[in-house]
Amino acid sequence: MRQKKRLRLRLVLYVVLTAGLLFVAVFGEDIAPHDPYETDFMAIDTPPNREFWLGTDNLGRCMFSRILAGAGSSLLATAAIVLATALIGTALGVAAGYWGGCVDAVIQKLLLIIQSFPGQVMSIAVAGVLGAGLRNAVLALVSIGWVTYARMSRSAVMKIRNANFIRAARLCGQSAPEIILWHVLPNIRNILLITMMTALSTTMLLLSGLSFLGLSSKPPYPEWGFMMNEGRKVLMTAPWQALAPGLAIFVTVVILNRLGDSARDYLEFMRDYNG
Amino acid sequence: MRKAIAVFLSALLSVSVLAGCQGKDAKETESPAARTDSQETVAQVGETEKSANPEGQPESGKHLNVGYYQLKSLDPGANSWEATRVGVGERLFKLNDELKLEPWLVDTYEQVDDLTWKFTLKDGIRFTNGKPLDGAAVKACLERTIEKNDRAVSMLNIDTIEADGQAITVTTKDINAALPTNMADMVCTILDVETLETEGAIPVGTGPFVITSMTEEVYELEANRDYWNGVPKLDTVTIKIINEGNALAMALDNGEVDITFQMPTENVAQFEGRDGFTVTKETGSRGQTVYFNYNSPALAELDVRKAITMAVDRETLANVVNKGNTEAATAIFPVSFAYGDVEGVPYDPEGAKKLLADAGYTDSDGDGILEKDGQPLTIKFLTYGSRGSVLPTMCEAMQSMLKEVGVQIDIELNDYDPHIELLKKGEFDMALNSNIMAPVADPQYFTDILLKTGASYNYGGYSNPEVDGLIEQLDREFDPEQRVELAKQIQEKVVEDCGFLELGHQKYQVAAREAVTGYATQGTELYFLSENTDIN
Repeated sequence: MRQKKRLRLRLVLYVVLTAGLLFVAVFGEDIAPHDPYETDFMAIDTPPNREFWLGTDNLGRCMFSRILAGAGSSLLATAAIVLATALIGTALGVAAGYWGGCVDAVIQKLLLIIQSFPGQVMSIAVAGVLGAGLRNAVLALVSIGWVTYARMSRSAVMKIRNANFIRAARLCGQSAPEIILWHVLPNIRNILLITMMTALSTTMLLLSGLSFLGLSSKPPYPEWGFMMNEGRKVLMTAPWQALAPGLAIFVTVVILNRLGDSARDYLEFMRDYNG
Repeated sequence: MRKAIAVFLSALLSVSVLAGCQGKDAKETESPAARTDSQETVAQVGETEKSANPEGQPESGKHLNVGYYQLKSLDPGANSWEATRVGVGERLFKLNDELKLEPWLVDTYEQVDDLTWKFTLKDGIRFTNGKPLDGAAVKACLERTIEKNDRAVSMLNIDTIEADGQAITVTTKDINAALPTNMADMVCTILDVETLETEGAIPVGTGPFVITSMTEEVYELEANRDYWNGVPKLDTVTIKIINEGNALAMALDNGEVDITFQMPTENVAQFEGRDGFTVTKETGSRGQTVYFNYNSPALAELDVRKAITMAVDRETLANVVNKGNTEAATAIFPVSFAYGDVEGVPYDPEGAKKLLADAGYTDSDGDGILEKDGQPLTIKFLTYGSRGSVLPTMCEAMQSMLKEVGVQIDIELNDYDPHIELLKKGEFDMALNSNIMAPVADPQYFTDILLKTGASYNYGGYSNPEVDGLIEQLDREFDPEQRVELAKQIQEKVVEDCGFLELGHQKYQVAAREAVTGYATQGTELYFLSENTDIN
């Protein structure tokens, strides 16, 4: 009982922190102390001080404001990737697992093809071919990310496909979509949720990696990975320009990662507890 | 945490790899020492010195480690400047410290008539593989370069070359007053053609150094003991190619290299004013030129081009954004050049707003961007390089300056080759390029390739018959003062048309250890290592 309380507390803590991140993502530009796009040629490369908390960049723009403004694209793109991959992957995985046979064979082959390429390299290639831009970076990561969900939901569905409650539903005359919606999905819901939560942090890192390579967003839009790459050039003379966005990525990834872990621990505990 | 450990481990790994490299270098430089007796004694002296001085010099005499940003080829046919920079290839003429023309491989020369020139080569010069340097060798090399490199065609405009002993007679297709001057350019680097044509061979020239081995990462050079113009002060040189600015700076900082070539501006900054390092800055002609595409409807209008020119504060770009490493431009050529001092369009953002308003641009939907006939004034601005380097930073600064007057700029960043492809196809509104504009300190070259109608670098389609006429006159004018006058007139016309927007001219910087002397810092970027280069 005490463990349950502890797990729940931890989950609540990280949910609150994530909500904070979301708040910044949505209202970042409004709460920023300066205009993130306003260049000030008199304040180029200013070290962190009272006015510019994280210093300024090579055009005198406030780093702190730019990081707040950039949170939106980073987090929303991450959320979009996770949702899209989960939807596509689960749909294909459930189809493969439920119907089996020919459908399963085709989807299995597709999975094999995509899995035979290393994920990150594949996403760099896709983003490179599509051209720079946040939308293309999202597409690139979605195109390889759905595999995990497909594999997982396929095996989960195969396990219960011939269970008695599914047979019963079938005998009662329910159609396949109805059975999937009312009987199959609720049974794989937990494992899906956990996978999505833990995927948040890794997706965020992958996206930052792509934008560090210059494959997402265009100037002057502040994207964290991009800002880091820009700052890398002056690491010796103005280290805050690379450290500040790096810190932002770090904090966000840690929060998202812990959120995923807490959710998993809590749900697993609840399952054992109830079952 | 795992990341921190990974970083630490990889740092450890790279340190040990580097340590391994240095051990190897020391060994490699040791071996040539055992060639003659006298050198062996030198080696011994070197050794005793080393034990006294822990930093020490390699045993085989004077050795220089050079950090090079990019070194892909030595072939003048492939437009490579490097053969002369590394001290392997020499040219018919050279520019001295005052940027005056001096014969180099040439002994004497004369103009026979308007189209014919006769050059006599110095006697007794040999390629480092023993072949004599005669008229036939020069003819073969020049003809090969002309065939392969368009730059040679436009700079030399040569019709025929005849060789007779040490003499070569050149006829040009048209009057080319700048022929001897242009022979100081990279297109006239003389190398042994056979070594250029043979697959995998090491190019051989007449210079103070000989390449003993070359790979994509490291070039090993040795002094040419029979050099015609004295004995090189250095015995061996190692050139390491490090095409990442931070890594190059680190290599200089930790003593892995003694001198660097073409270190990016943003990395040079950390060596300025530091003990033990020298940073030289010379005004050069490497200009940052903005192209206007005359085929995009908005930019075909003079008023729009002029408003953009007026809205860009070139002084701030040069002195603040680029931290004083650029000299702000007024017209096309550097203001410090005799023919560059031409009055330009002044910075006047209010005037720019008025000009655009008069041309019919209004902000009808209140989004801060001007429109005309419902079309927003949005400009696709192309440049190349990585973010944070000079050109993209200039673009971003201009983006914010132009936003003030209601012009929206969309920046598109590419690598150099795809960037040039896009320019050739005309798929841009504005583009920012960096070029060496007066490689031999003469205006003819760049007016020929940039400003003339249909010229090879004239990607935006600028065309003014008056300018074309003046350029033709410049090509034919022999009197130096008249040439300056003509170059000024050409630029005045271009300023009037707002045909191009020249932001400024980058200073040429070399960062080296204080111990290194005798390297070239000339802003033309033609030269680097020579027989006078030394390390103490």
